[in-house]
Amino acid sequence: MHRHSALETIYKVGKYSSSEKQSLTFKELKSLEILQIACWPDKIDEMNNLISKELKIKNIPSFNKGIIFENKSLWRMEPLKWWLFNKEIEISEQIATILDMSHAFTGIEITGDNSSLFLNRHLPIDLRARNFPDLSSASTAIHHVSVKLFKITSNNYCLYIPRGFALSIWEILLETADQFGYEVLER
Amino acid sequence: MKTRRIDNYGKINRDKILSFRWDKKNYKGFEGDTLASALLANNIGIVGRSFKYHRPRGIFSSGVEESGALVTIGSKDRRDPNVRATTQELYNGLEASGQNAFPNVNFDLAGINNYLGRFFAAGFYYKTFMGIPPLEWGKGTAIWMFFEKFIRKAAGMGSASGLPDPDTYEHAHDFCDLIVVGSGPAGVAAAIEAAEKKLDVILVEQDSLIGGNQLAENDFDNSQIKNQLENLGIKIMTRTTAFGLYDNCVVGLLERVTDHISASNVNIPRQRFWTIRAKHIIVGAGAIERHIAFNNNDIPGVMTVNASKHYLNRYGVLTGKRIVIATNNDSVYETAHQLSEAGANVTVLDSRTNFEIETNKSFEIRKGYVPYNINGSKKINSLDISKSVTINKSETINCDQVLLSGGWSPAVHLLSHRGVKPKWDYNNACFLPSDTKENITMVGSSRGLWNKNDCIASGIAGTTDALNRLGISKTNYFFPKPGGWKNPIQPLYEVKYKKSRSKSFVDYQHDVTTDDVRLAHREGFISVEHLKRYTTLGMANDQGKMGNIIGLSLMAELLNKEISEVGTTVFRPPYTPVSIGALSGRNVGKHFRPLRVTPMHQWNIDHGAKMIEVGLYQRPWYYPKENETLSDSYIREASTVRKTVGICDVTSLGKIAIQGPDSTEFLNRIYSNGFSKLQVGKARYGIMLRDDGIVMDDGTSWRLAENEYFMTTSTGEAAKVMSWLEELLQTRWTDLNVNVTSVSEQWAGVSIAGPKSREVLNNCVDDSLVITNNNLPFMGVTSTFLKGNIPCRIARISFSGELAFEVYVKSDFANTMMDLLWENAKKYDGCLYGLEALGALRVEKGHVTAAELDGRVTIDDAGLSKMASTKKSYIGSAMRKRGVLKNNDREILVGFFPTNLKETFNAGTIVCEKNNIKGQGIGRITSVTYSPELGHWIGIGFVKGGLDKWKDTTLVGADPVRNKQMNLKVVSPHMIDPKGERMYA
Repeated sequence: MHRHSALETIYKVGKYSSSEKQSLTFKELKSLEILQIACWPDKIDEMNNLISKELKIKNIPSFNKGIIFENKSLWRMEPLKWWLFNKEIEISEQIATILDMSHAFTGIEITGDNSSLFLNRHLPIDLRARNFPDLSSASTAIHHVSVKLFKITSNNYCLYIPRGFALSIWEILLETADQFGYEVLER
Repeated sequence: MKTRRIDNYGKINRDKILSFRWDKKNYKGFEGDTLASALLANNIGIVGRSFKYHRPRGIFSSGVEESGALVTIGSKDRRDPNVRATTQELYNGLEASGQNAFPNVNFDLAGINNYLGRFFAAGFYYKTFMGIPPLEWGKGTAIWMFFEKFIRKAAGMGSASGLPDPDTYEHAHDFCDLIVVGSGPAGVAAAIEAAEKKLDVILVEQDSLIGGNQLAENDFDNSQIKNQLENLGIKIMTRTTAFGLYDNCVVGLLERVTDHISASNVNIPRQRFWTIRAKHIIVGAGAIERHIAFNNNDIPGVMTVNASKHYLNRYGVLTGKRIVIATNNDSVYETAHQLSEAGANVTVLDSRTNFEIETNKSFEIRKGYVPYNINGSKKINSLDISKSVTINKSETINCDQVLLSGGWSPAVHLLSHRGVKPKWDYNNACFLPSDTKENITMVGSSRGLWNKNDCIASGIAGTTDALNRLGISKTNYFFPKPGGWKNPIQPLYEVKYKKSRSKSFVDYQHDVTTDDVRLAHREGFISVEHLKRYTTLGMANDQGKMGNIIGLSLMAELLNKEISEVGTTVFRPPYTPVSIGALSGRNVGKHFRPLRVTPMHQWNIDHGAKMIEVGLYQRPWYYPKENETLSDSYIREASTVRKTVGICDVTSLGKIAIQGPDSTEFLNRIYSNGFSKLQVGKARYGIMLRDDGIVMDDGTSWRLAENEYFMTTSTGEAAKVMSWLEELLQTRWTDLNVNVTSVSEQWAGVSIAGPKSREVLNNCVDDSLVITNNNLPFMGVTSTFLKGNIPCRIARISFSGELAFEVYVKSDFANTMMDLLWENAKKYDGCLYGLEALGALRVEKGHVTAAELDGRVTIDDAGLSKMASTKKSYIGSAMRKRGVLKNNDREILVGFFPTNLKETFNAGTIVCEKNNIKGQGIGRITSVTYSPELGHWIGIGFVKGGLDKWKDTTLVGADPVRNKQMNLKVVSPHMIDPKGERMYA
């Protein structure tokens, strides 16, 4: 089934720049699969055990951290909430509730040497390595719109924007990116 | 024209010549010049006219404190007024002009004001033009209001272009352990010390070059220091002003990104507004040299001594040939020597009589002398001097320049932003920064240190202080004592002119004279804050950087007090002006606020929708055909819905997933009506009250599973309801296992309404049996598939009063759903309908929205009292029974018809009794529409006592705003199909 992207009408692959060099790349993450897991406060231990067993991972990420395994990832977005990407899971509602959020966000991957500098044009988040190491996440805001930021590596971030605002935020991001030089990659 | 540029001086790049225009004439300068240095080099003395008296003004300084050389840069939409020529870097093609003058600053017709100056003292305008007898007899402002525009035009500074700003601006954020403001010897020492101790350091410098006041030293080479700083990993931000300090070590910076280059590229922001969050702040912002008040102390050619040194050693410009330096302190002698070496004939007047200074006798020193009066109007012809002990003209010195140094004022402004009051230091005749418990340390001359070694020592001590406060070290340290001159300064603020009329300027920019300060004292404005506001001392864009201390000293003398007792005004951000564009950043034009669209936004536009903003959302307003007006279109759309079928994008409704074992109990507590017995596969309309018993919002909740609900809210209240539910779960009902999550973006929704809606849907679902009347009765809910295997949720809900369904699919499938539904709706002559038709349909049915539920209405007022359970407790259940909410004369929801059915009316009309049309009347009309079904205008609203009281009485609708009045008939709000037979069909 074809999924229509929120950026469908304005997503134009190509190199754009007021300078000669493109130091940033943007790529929309296609066909997101996001499952929100929301645990009850007194079931954290059971939740951790279950996740560990179901996902076959040893280190359960702490708050605002994530783990990437195979082509999947798990991010602890709030003390009691996780986002699980590209994986389905069944959990008893006595431990947690699960909710499909795959269509609620538009995901954008931002890569490049200037990615932190660029993001700080909008985000009031300390992205320095010692304070925001790889596999960190944050709930923050761009232009008053709540967004989720994942740091994959020092030069590679994923930004999740509420779908209805994605068009507007995409435009404003690219306007800012122009000074750095940027390329929009195939989805 | 002779040049003042001299060989072998300055750090400008003489290999790169820059062309610029000043007042429509072409000139040359060099790379590294400021506009001020280039103008001086080209022997241009008059660069401005004063604020009130239109006196010719020259260049007083070489920095941000400049109060004379305010000019306009650029033209047309890039015209930027009130720019300090002293900080504007020269670039090829720069276009600058004088301001506040006609036809130009050299010959200004308004210069006549100078000869009428005795009438223009502080407060003149208000005293003269307000309450003029016999017209206004001491009170009234009509005359002032008439003359104000002329007065404001005659006085002032530059004018903005009035055109949209073509440049872009942006905001940015950064973080560090230590931010150092100022790159003088103290700031650099602090930064190096901190970087060597492994702190993450940002060094901020407002100039284009680092070095601070060292840039005025002939042998200073900043490149070596820059390399050292960069090698230590220190982030250097030049052309960046720290304009304000805020809570928690937040520093506001303004970076001028392209103000120094000629090419304009809208993709590169002109200025960048930085918010820096640091753990500690070191301020080494330097000190500002003061002038001295005496008669005609503003004639072009007057300058601070340190500025002249900068022009000589940084820009290679000798600012005068016959120079008189007037001072009261040691700081001028090195400059005097250098000016003399450069070829100037220099005389130093020092107000002190008993002091020793080492010189090579290349210039004359007149001990015990002060400046008394400058002779000249557009340039200095000579200077009358006086002995400092008995003030009177004693002799005249021919000269072309007067350099002044009345002492130095540490730049305590940034610390003042934190509410820290500076303290007066008698020994150094200046305000010094007080201690603060915040992580802010003052270093260098901004803490009153006058020699370089002390500044460097203070920078290192400042970093040690920072390390200690951050808990990184526990090291003893000390700051050098304020001062550092061999001979003590002798306070000298004013040299009183003996003649009756004088122009001794305290604040150059606002033309505030010593006489104005005395007038303020005579009239009782003796508090420094009153003095400031009465005279406007320190209120121009230099914020009193040069003149404040002189004004305070005069008031102290008048009050027979010390300056420490008089105090100083509070410095507030910004330290130097910040453009409005920089404050706005990218939040302008179409990005003024974030735009929110539904997943079928483009689909709607492609199918002819005219959009309207609803909150942040763009929603289809109406879908005109060919030449249809809004009115034509919505009437057609609403009629089509009643006759056949219509499709409406309702995605903007708030949508909340409610999950968990206690979900039912949770809903039962937040809604006024019962939810405990709602079956799976059913939806229920619910009313949510506030704690005070007033209606908060309404919507439907669908029971999808035993412990899972899908709640819809009104568009406008979605965020409020969501945060309200979270608050309840986090604070009041922590025992409930319920998760609430906004899924407004996850789901796209449409309403399919009209007698043919089921038939349309039949063609769109995989299994048409799921939507039969039996399987999906009114308020039934089902999860099924649209053709093409699109999962969807369908509820049989009606806002229009017709047979209707709401269909939700996941957002990425919205366009596919719309294609499918629309293809089939067209077969039944259906239509797409927008918000306007939606409104018409719901008004006909008497359904309330935010227009009615405006925060004043109870559930009883809205005619929904049957939905208030008497069998359970819920939010607002106690308070809704308050006596005041049960009064019989409360305004109750009703419908309105105009008595004359050809008449129209508007929302906002006040409902009154006949012969008693006044005030707030007895009710109000909240929503109106033309009813296609009834063939005339209808409305809903509220009236005291409701339908029962007024159904046989003609009332009056008063609309004073639109100057309308009509007779009204009160009817039931349910004007169409009151029994609901259509929606149950």
